[in-house]
Amino acid sequence: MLEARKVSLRLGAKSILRDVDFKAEPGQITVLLGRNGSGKTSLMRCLAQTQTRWSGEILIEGQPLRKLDAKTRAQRIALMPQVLPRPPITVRTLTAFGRQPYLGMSGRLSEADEQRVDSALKQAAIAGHAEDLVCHCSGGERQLAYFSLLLAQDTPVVLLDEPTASLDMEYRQVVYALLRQMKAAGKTVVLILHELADALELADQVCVMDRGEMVFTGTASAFLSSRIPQSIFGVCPKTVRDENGSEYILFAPLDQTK
Amino acid sequence: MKSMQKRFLLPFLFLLLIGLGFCGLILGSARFSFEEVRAALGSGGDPMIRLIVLQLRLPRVVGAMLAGCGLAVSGLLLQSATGNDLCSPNIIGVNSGAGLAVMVMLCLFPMAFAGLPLAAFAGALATTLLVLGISVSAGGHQSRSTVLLAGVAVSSLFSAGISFLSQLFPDALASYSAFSVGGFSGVKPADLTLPSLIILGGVAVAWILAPQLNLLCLGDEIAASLGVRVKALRLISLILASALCAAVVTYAGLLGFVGLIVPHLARRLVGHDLRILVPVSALTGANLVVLSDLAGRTLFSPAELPAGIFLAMLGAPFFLLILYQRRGRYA
Repeated sequence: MLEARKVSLRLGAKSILRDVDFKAEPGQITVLLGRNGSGKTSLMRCLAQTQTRWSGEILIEGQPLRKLDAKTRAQRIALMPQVLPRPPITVRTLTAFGRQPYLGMSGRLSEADEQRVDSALKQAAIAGHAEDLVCHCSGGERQLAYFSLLLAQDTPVVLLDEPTASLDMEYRQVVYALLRQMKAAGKTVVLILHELADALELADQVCVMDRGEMVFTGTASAFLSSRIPQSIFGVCPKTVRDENGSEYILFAPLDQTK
Repeated sequence: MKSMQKRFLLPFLFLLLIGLGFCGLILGSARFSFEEVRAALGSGGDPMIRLIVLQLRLPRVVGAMLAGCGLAVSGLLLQSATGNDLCSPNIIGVNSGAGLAVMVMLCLFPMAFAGLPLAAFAGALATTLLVLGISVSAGGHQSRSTVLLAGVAVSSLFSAGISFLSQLFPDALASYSAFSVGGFSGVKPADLTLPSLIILGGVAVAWILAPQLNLLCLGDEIAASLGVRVKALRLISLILASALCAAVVTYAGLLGFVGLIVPHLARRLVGHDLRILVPVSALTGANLVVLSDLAGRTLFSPAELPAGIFLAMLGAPFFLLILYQRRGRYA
């Protein structure tokens, strides 16, 4: 479980986060929503401790995050940032980096670590590209390569900042399937998404941020029945039903619904 | 390069270094036979040959090996820590800092040649600390680009300082020129004691840091989430790189290009894993500098050219070749 209590962040004169309370449970997908600049990525950086200037309290499995040393923290929380570098290393090497928090000083992988890397490559459906250089991979392949790193890191908490930002529909479905696998494995999955319909379909819990504050926490249906879609995102949810009776949620811009 | 070939690369480079080192003992203005050198390295042989081999050529060869190791690993550390493969000790101002300190010494104490190595070492380290200080206050942290930009600015300022002093004190210029080209003529065993400890210790520490340094290519956020203390690692790497370079500068002067080209050459041979890159760079650098020194004192014998000139003649075209081959590779 990951919990933030009254977390605030100031960078220079600017207040980025104000008294944010947040809780994500194991075996659930928590989606952070909000407009650009609302503080989602900053909160995620604080939760991953890659941003350290926050005040308040962040607990992981009941333990204060600040008290964990870097290696122990890396065994508990994994982060996939929005911008993924393109290093000139193979997908297999990238995946093997996920085992780094568990290795000794030599950085040598044991046989069990090698097996974990192989299984992460297969699970992320990127084993066929294991020997390709990451810098030569397409956007979708690169995303899956970084997913295999996350899987190899094998942490109970996984944070993902817009993991589908540059992906086509096919790769998005692969990524969503991987997220559901992580959830089924009992991991605490927290992700930032901009596609509202996809977010509501995936999420067990929806959290909405606005101007550095947490303005909504609840289920997808509570989100739909609130005024948040209109007031924060400027859209109106509409439920449509196809001829087979399946329901879909569409979001129409408010000015088109008048 | 295939993994089988990689496995044999380190022993090959080591044997090549031994072979080049032996050539360095045999060849020179007076040429000796293999047997004569072997006898001199033992306890027998002609006393004159023994004197030349042990007191003149051996320190020179060992000095060249250590300089190649130190500069190559220094460049590798800088390139890894800043994420910029065009970074080298020259770029972050280590060389110009050492140069300015030497120039100041030559102007203030023209006869104090014994103090020059210490001045060079102090200048190089002080410059690194200054560059880090500026980058911290300017960028709020030791980010990649702020360190580089601060280095370029400080380097330009110190180069201007050297030019300014050379105008005011033209007599100091001749001594400074020899220092700025770099070479191993006149290196004595005592000159190598402290630098050898720093260089061998520094290369060992770089190898220990290699698994963590490998992760910096993923960017600061992912590296931190994998357990790397990014700022501390970057700071240690920069200080270590400067110490390695400063240790070389104390006895070999300002040798250019080794820190820039050797890491590139090593990457082409073994890829980007620093666990293997550190030893391969160290041995490749040692081979390159010993070869340059050997060429400098044999090709135009009895005249002798400093190793620094040969390194620049080899290094500049090689580097341009790399730049042309890289075109569009990571686009």
